[in-house]
Amino acid sequence: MTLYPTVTGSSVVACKYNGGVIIACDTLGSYGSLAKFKDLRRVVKANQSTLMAFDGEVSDFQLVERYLRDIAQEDGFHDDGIFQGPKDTLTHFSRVMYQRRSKMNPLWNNLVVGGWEDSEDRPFLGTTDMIGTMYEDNVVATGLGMHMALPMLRAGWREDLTEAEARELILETMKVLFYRDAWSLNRIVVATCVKGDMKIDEPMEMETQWRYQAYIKPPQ
Amino acid sequence: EFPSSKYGGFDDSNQLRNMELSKNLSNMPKARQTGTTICGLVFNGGVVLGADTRATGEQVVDKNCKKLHYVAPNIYCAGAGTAADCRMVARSVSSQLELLRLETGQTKSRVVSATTLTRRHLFQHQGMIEAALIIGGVDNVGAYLYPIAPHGSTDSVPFATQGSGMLAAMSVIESRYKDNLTEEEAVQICSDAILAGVFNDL
Repeated sequence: MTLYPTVTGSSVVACKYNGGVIIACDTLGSYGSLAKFKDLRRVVKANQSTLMAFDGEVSDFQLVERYLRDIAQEDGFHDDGIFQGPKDTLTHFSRVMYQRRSKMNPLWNNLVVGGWEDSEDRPFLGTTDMIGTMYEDNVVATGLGMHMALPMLRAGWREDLTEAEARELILETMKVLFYRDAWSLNRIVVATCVKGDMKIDEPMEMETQWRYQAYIKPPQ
Repeated sequence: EFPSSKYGGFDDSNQLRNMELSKNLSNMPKARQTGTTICGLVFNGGVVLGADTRATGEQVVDKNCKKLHYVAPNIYCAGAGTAADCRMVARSVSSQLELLRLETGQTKSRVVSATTLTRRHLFQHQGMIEAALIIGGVDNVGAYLYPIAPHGSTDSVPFATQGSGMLAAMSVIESRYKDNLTEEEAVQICSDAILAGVFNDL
């Protein structure tokens, strides 16, 4: 998968809110410009307190999922009651991404890692791209979401956002991405993580507005 | 051996020289670009156009550049791309429209006239004139908004954005646009869209 991705997922959008993290993706796996897989789940439970979402090549993320299982298993073997959190997961995988890029064989993904960081008792959200650029932020988006969702998230984000407000903000950005991203779908998955609980919702279809007067009866 | 020397249009006689130069010089001088956010919205009874004011080459060349160009008393044009190209195209079309108004005795020009003249000009130059424009105006038939790409393609839309900040601006407009906006609402959305481009792009 060094040269080019084949089956791809589009943008991921995520933000922190008061007490947790919310991540959303659409459920489309594109085979080039063909909308081939309409029920691709791009948000997974990475470990007990972490959600991970991806964009880019699907098969590369399936490898990441295998790594996640192995890490979780080893964590269990230690049997010390301490488990990897979102920070550990993000830093680990950003190193993996960087190593792969240094061997000119990258994992063609942008990973978004969000969850509850027990060691610091706070929500954690960060991302790493396919060459290992890692950062943490209150709002995060990948792909076209960086250009379209991030401005909206930055304008609408507050420290004391409730889950409902965060959900609404994220939903707005996913709608806009559906309007303007040519490789997107209006069927999305939203996942949340708070202290002690993670939830990945079932896919939902978004209501979108296409009936402007100018579209129904174009001038001239 | 360049066709333009026979048929007019752009003078390409420096192309060979430029190709040689680019082999030897490590940083070729670039045309002044406006890294821009411009947008336009149709509201109930009119059109609003907005633009940021930064012009960039390698640095910020102009902090208060004007990107909204007069085309006719009832038509304005926002321009992204090469600043000079936008300005000169707007000026040229504006002159042509004024002459047309004088010849036909009209006081207002049609927005489609401005659009057609512009797109013919741009297409003739095959995209070499790097002007991405949004023409907006109100004439006797209604309020119109036409984004025009450098190669000369046009759309007729209720809202449009251009420039490097176009995605940031579009996200604001897509989430807030409704039919039959009031002028105040439209101006507010337009300025928020430009702000999104200013703070998140450029």
